[in-house]
Parts: sequence; C-alpha cells; structure tokens
Amino acid sequence: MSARALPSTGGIHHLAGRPAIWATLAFLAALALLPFSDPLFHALFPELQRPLYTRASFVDLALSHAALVGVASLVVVSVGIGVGIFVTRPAGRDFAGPVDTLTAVGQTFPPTAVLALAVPVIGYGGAPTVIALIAYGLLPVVSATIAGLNAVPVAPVQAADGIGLSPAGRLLKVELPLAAPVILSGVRTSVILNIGTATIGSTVGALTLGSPIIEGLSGSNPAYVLQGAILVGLFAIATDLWFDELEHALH
Amino acid sequence: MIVLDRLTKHFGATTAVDQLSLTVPTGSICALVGPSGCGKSTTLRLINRLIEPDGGRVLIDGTDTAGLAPVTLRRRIGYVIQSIGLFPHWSIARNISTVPELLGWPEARIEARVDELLDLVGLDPAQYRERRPHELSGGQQQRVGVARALAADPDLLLMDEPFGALDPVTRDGLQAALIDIQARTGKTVVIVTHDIDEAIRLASLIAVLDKGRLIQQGAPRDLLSRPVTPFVEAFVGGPHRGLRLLQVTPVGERTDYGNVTSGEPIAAEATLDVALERMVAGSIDRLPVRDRAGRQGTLSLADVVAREVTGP
Repeated sequence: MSARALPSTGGIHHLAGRPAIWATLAFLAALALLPFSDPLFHALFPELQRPLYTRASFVDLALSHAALVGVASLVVVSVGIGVGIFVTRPAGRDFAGPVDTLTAVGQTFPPTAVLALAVPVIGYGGAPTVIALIAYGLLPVVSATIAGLNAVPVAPVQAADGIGLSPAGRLLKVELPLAAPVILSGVRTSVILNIGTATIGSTVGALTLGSPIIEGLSGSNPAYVLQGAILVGLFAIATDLWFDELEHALH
Repeated sequence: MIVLDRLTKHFGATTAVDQLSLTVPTGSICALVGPSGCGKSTTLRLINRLIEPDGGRVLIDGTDTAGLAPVTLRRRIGYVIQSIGLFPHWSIARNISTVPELLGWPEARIEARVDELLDLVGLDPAQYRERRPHELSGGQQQRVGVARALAADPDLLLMDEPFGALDPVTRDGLQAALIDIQARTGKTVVIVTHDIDEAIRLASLIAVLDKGRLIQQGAPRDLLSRPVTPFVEAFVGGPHRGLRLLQVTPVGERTDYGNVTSGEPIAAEATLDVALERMVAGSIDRLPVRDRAGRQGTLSLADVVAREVTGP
C-alpha cells in the first residue's frame, strides 16, 4: 500500500479533524469519570438508593468486554476470510451454497439461544459468550469476503495468470488487496455488531459492559442500565470511527 | 522457433482448435487471424498453457512445453491482453517489475530495467514511474502492458488482440511502437487479431484460421495474391484486396531504372500505396525513384496498377 494516502498525523489541528480520536477520548473520559458521578445519578434518579454501579470497576468491565470481542473477532476474521477464500477457489466452489446457508443460520440463530445451549456443555463465563459472538459475527465477514473477491475486476486476474503468478501469488498480491475495502467493511459490521451483542454475555456470568445493564434490568435500576449503555455506545462509536480511519488509509 | 504440432482443443462438443500445425521462426511476428470463434485466442492460450491441449504439442526452441511447470513457462513468455489488466493498486514501476520480482532479480537491476522499458515503449520514466494505472490513458496503459510483458526479457511475446480496444490513432501509434520494439529486440511475437490490416502491417507470417482449422499460412503478400480458398480471399482481401496488395508491394519492384524523372524521389523501399497517394495528391502519373544504392528510376501509374508478377 502506498504511504502517501495515509493522513498526516502531525499537529494538534489534525487531531481536530479526526473524530475517531475524539470518540476514543470521550469513551476514556466516561470510564474515568463515571466512578465519581454518584451525585449526578442521585440527582437524576432520586428514588434509587444506590444509583451508581460499583460491583466491578468500569475499567475492568471495559477491558473484559474488549477482550471477549477481540478474541471472537480474531477467530471470526481468520475463519471468515479463510472460508470466503476457500469457496471462491475452484476446489471450494461447490461449498459456496452450504457455507452461505450455514453462516446465515449462524446469524439468524439468536445469540441468547447459543448461550443457553453452550452453558450446559462448557459452563458459565467468557467461553460461551465468545462462541455466541463467533456464530453471530461470521456472516458479515464471510459474505463480504465472497462479495469482495467476486467483484475483483477480471482483467488484472487474467493478466496475473498470463504473466505467471501462481494461484497463491495471484490471491495474495492481486485479489485480496483489491477485495480489501469490501472485506474490511464486513469486518467492521461484524465487530460493531459484536460489541453490542457481547453485553448479553453478562447473563451467563461473563464480565462485560452489559453487566450493569443486565443487573439494572433485573433489579429495576435504570441508572445502571444507563451507565452500561453509555459506555457500550461510546465503545462502539469509537471503534466504528477507527474503522473509518482504516478504510481511508486503505484507499 | 515455436512449433505447434497437431494442436487440438475441445470445449464440450465443439472443437475449438483442430489439429493445428504451425511453425513460427525465431524473431518474426506471426499473426493469427480469423473471425470470432475461429480458435485464434484459444491457440494463443494453449501456447502458454493457460489452457491445456487435448492433443498435440507445443515446442519452444525444441522443448516440449508440457514438460515445464505452467507458472515457470509463463514467466518466460510475455503476455499482453486486450483488457490490459494492469494491477490498479500498484505503481507503473511495480506493475512492470512483477515478473522480475517473481524471478528474484536484485532491486537495482529491476529499477534499471523498469526505466529501460519505459523508454522502450515511449514513456518518460521520470514522469510515469510512480504513477498509478488509472492516471494513464488507454494507449499509455497498454504501453505499460507491453513493458510489463517484456520485463524479464522473454524470447517470446504473446499478444491477444492487444490494440483492439484502442481508438484508431492510438492503435496506429502502438502498432508503430511494436514494429520498432520488435526490430530492436528481435523478439518472436505471436499476435491474435481480427483486424487484417493490423496483421498485414505487423506480421511477416499470417495464419488464417476458421472453425479451429488452419486454412492458410504465409507472408501477407502470398495470402493477398494467392488465397487458397474463397474464405481466405474474402477474409484477407474482401473489397480492398487490390489496395492491400499495394501496401505490401515495394516501389522498387515496379520501377523502370533505365528512365530518370525530375522531382523529389520516393524511396524504392516504400510501398506502392504511398506512391499512389503521392501521385493522386500531386495529380501526376510518374514519380522519380531512388533506391538505397543511389540508383535512379521512374515509377509510372501504369506500373503501379500492373498485374502482380507473382500472381496466379
């Protein structure tokens, strides 16, 4: 990739034009300031005795949340892109239909149901959550990889074959780079979806930013729900904007 | 020397190439011509094994290509296609250096080669080296396509309707560039075209194909003056056969060297169509001629339209 397409990072006024940095700062600020917001939530929710979630620190929740999404996304990206590549090769073309169905099932199958089925087998905590996130996040990556590879113009591929690139060389040097923007948009969709979906992991004991939300819902404490929702929202927005940056860098 | 030996390829029930035998001498340009679906592109793709034959062999300088790994074979053969197919995400320099890089050339040699090739195809290296394909016109892109094909200095260049998608002026320029490049590098070129004028202009050997069969092969002049079937006659000549014969006949052959006329002489190596154009433009029926040795003579309109000496 050419370096000249990367936006310059020097100078404070460049920061101002980069919303990803602002959103990240807002997320970090919320994490840092929420523990001191007791008076604010007392004022907002006077009827609640303990309006500030304190069972776990927000930083721990955020780190655990990010780790769950991160692990699931690593698997989703490697498996999803791998499967997408496989079914667009001559050897795997016959599997395109079944894979399509399978990933669609993975996404239409409710993540809560995945959790319910996984817990008896592997127990409570992060593991069933990661499994649910993987099942839920595969579809956008697989279908974007297939769409991206199928949309690569014919001429460079023909030329690559004709001048003697090996099939693997053609894939790595020509097809994947040309499909990269489409694949990246699929990864983006998957990761953002799963930042939201990971919150339900707290129903099976995983530590996530959904923990205050779940506890707030079961304990009729809307302040907890609000605190969790603000953090998850800011996390998702910041991540989404970083994907924006990445897409610009790719062009 | 390229030898196609009873080459055969079926696609389902149709026979795309049928027992085709053809010998292309080293250092010549051979044009495969014929109507759409005649098997000319398939033949070209059989040479670098983009498709595998159902029968027959391809020998390059005596080596049966079936014994080589296809990828190795293709890196030794230049390949240019109508749709050009530059890699849009790479600079012009990186596009050209694709095959040398695959072959593991040292960086300095690759850089020097890129500049040398840009010069060869008529693009200023300083100006074009770092550009992206989309910043170039179609004609410039195909010049880069030719440079990329020649990058690893292959002895053989395959071209599949390389100038078919370009406008006539650009096509003209690229044909001239190809003639020049071939003269300077001595490459063996096999070019597929449905444009008989292009074939006549570029090739020393034309092979006319129809329905997968080789109908006739020979020098452009042979085909024009002695077509073996009405199909060849119609395809290579059609209504313009007489005019095309003028394009391949040198002035010297019709010149009366005993007779000197005044005026600006035409070279004996020029072709009759150029002479006729000058007569028409100047409203004259005689032209002074001078050959390389300085011999002088006269070409008259009657000589131009005289019956082909070698004709039937």
